[in-house]
Amino acid sequence: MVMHQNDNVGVCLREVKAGETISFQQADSQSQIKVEDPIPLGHKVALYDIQSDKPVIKYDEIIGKATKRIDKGRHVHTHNVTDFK
Amino acid sequence: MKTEFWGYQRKDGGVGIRNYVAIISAMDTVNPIVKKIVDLVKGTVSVTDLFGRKLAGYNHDIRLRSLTGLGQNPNVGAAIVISLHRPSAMPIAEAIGKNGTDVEFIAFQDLGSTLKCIEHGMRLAVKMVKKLSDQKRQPFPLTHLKLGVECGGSDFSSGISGNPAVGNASDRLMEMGGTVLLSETPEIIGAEHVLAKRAVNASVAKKLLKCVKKMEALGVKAGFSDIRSSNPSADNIKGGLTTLAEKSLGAILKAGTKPLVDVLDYSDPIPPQPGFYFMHTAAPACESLTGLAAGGVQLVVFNTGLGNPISNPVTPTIKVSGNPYTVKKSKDDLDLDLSAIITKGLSIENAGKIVFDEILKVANGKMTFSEIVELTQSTISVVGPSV
Repeated sequence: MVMHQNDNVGVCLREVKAGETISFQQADSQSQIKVEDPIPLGHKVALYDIQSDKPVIKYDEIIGKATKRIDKGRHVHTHNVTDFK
Repeated sequence: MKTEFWGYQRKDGGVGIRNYVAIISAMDTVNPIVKKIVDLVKGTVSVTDLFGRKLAGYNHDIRLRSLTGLGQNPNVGAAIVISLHRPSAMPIAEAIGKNGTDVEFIAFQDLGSTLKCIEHGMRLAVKMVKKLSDQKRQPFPLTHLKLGVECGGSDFSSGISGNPAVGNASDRLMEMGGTVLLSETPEIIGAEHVLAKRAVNASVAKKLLKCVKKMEALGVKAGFSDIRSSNPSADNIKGGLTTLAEKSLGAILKAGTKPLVDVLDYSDPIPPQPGFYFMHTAAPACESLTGLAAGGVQLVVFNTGLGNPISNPVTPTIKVSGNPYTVKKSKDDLDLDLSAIITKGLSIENAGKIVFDEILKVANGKMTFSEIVELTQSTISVVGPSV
């Protein structure tokens, strides 16, 4: 589920295995990505590449910043995101 | 389209969606007596808090304002204040009576005996319940409805299903002239700038940001090294929430999208102007629900990700969840299952309509699980110790 058209992460509504291709709806278009990490239910996956120190965007707001480069399809969580200060 | 609800007219112009007789304890010393009267008389609800003696300053003021507010809540048709002695019972009874509420008080030391207090309390309560049971509901516009929105046991589902759906219902209510209250200051930390932007003027925005600063200072005083670092909690993180900002942005969704009219302190009476308000409260459910009830909300929609059983004695609470696992585990406690947002693509718009329809049903008399099973607890916030 993608909350807003400007978001760069989506929430997985089920557990996703590494290597699976999933589709998501953002604004009016459908897209697909290959998931590179196992993602638990409710956790986030990067919909686009996020450079190190760049903002992670959900709800069209900055929810944090990447502590290292996060490639599209990777698990986005406390291991690679910190508070945006 | 539903534009009205049926409720009980109060002398101060408020409208109740229930017609309770509230038996209010002014001091924990008499809590057991209050509970026994409530157990024996149908139609009564108990407000039994802890502490109540040797409180000064802010603590004393909050307590007086909260107990008064609970007694004056539009759902309360009549009240009995019970305490150890007159000096603690009378001021609260007098304060409650100022809005025309039918109120009596009982001082233990006047009667000297628990059994006599129970007998006297029962006699008064029975008389009140009988009188109120003869009162009929009348139709009123939705401008009279004040809704509290709450979340507890938050997880990944809260900010993507339950809260957005509740927010949609909140917007619907406000579009019809109703009022919605958001509370729990720690739950907006990380998203306060988003709320502040919606304030109707700079003074309201400033008040909101001041609440956050006050809460952070209180957190340090209470022993949290940094309130921001203890949130999200381990449970939230396991459930998928990564940062405080993410959690709070998800939390504020339940209050809809309307402009922020004003910021209220804990248990402050809600002003007559309809719209979206924020009330400064602590995060724990009982304390925030009590603040909202004392302010005058008639009902609460409570979204839970992981489950939460509690509600407030004077305000029916509609429990909802959008988490597909929780709705199975907590099936009994939940009044609405919104998990189809996640499992079946139910739109937020349609989910919001389901919540709004339930709000109207409960306003008109439909009972909630926590109401039927009396899962209620009043907890007035205490800042610092009594002596």
